Amino acid sequence: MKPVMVVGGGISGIQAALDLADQGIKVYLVEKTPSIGGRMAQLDKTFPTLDCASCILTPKMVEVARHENIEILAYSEVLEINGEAGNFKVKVRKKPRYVDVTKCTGCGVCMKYCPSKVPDEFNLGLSERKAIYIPFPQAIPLKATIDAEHCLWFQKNICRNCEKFCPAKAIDYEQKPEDIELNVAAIIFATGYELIADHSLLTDQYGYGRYANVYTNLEFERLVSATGPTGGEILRRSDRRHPKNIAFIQCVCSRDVRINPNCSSICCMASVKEAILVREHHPDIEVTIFYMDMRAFGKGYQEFYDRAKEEFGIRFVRSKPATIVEDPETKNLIIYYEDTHTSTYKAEEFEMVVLAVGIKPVVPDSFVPVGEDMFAQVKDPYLDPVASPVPGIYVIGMLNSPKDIPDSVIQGSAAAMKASILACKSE
Amino acid sequence: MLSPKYVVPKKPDLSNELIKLGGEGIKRCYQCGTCTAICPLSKTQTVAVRRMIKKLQLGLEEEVLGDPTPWLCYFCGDCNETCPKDATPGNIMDAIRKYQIINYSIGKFAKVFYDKVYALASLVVMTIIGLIGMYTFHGEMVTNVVDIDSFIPSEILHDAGLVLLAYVIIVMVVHIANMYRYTKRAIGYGKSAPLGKWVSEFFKILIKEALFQSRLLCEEGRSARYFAHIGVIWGFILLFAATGIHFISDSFGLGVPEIVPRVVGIIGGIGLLYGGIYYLIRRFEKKELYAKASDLHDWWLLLLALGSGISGFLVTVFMYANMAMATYIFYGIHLLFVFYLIVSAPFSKLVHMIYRPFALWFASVWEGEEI
Repeated sequence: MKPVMVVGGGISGIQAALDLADQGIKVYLVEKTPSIGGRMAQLDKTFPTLDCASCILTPKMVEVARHENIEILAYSEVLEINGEAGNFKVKVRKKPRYVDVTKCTGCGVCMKYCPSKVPDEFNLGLSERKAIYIPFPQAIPLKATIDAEHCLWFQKNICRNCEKFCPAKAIDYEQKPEDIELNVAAIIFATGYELIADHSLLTDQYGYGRYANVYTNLEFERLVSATGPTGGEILRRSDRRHPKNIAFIQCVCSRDVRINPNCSSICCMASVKEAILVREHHPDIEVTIFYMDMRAFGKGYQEFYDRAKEEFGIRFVRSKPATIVEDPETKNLIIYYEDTHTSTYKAEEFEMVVLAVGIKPVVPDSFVPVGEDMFAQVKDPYLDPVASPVPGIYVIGMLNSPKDIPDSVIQGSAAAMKASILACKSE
Repeated sequence: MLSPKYVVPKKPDLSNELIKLGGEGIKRCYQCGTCTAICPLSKTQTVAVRRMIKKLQLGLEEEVLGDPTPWLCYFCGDCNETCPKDATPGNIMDAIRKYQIINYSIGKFAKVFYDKVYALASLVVMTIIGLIGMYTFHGEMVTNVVDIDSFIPSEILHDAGLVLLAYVIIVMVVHIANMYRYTKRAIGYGKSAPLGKWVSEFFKILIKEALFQSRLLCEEGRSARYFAHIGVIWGFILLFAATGIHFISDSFGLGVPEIVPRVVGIIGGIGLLYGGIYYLIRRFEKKELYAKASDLHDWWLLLLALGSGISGFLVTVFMYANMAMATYIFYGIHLLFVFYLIVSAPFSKLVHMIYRPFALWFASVWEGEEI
């Protein structure tokens, strides 16, 4: 019985890996970043139950790490795929961490002494990490990684502090990329998504990147998170104080024919959740959500939306704001919009703005065919919704189509089932 | 707000009709309100762009016909640029203007000028009438010196001008009455305003908007278009004034020197030519948002205005060059262009010079908006 490869260590890939491994099938879980966990690890709470995301994700990550049938290939990338369903030859490159993972204990001393500061990807640049880092405290594997682009040793041949202070003598500047070839029966791609954060709509119309107090929803997720840079306290980027009111703007760079006509399907509930979190953390902050259609389609979602209005007093305005202008002195943001329920034009001042930015899949280039909508093609959207048109390759999670956590988990299990059939048939 | 009597769709096919007139994005609109909020005019008054499109989608014909909103718009194109559905609200406003022009006109006669075949036929008919008229009334063609007055005597021209003026006034009174009727029902229902307000608003709009187009200037970086439009308007005003001075001086024997109306006319002609050529270039370039899609309605006004301007200018040039035959030929052409322009005025795009101030007037009186 051949193993199966799962590419992408987010919640969807984790679920697929666990379901396969529990059937006794060997799984290679390939992850691009130093740790598995994916986007869900960055989220504070989950809708509609407000469960803590880390609290339900971390046990699964640990299970993956401990599972005898799962081999995590973190900080690795797929280079080449040859062969056919039931017998793929996959070339994987393990990027050098410059840390011997067999020795590293994850103690974090190196991070303390590293002098080079870099914007922290895990916190979306809201805080800084060091050039040698562990992305977040619950990382799996819990091993340090040197970011050679920012490391003083690699850039200027000075420092070597981490080597000096590492109690386990795990630092190895001589590590080279290592290419390995694996023979697998099936490949499941779960490469996830990123925000469409580079369009002029964001920068010109909404001032993202120009105005300090305009955030994307993922940034805000980190800001409101207990594990985030402020410990869950909502502080403005400009003056580190609590805002009096916050506006959420929906459908930014999504449902927009110029940029991306798709609905991201998660932002309505995500913003409602974030708005509720604001009210829970700071009941005195007023929250307004600018929406066009509130898409509360899943189980418990409508009730969640109703609670937001009735229990938490969140204001919903049906409108898509046209522009945001910053007051140069107070750094407050004036939103120009038409309230479409009353047909009135308004200019309203907010102290913080959160944009529900549309998503695009991270496509594993050339390995899976992509549709016109940017998402991976599937063989049959009704009867074979996780199979790529290429036999033996499966596409799940956000790569497959916009979806929330429960749906991503369902697809993880579905793809595991499909892949296990190929694995069992193989010799 | 929509009153309850309009909740039932009156004309389910309304959006299709407007789509044919150039508002092709109507059905794409998902009512987000970006157009209203981005409109530079929104800062000073209610510009219900989104609501207007909603009315079209619902088929509220009377509400659409009675809404002055499209006339507030001068098509800067900001809404087209920011619309997330590419519904081109600016073009929809343009389509509504055409729809209103057609529906305000007697027997919907304006339809003729929005159809290529009928428009061409109307040109042929007007040319025949014009030529017959000129042939019937022309006098002696003196060839050794330029003598326009003996070619076509000015008394005859003045009489023809008076007839045309009366025609325009009578037709426009009916059209404005139609506009008033629709607008009163839609936005002025049950409202009354003191006479003083009507009067004060009238002068405010006449001076600020009709004569000086203050709103067209309200956005930065658009001054080139502003000056071109002012050139056209004042071109028309001065040319009309030149004709008027000549006529009054002639009929009352005031003996105003010939040079006065001529100079006024030449200044007006230059303004008209400047603006006309500016717009012609823009419409060929198709870069500016308002000039991206030009249809019959736009070319009609532009070509007739330019045609009469250029031919008139050539007449003056040939007259000073003492080229008799060329002068007479271009004089004939000039008269024909002016004839087309005046006859089609109550139905063509030119009528915006009347409808726009009236729409602004009704809106400011009934909706109490600050102009």
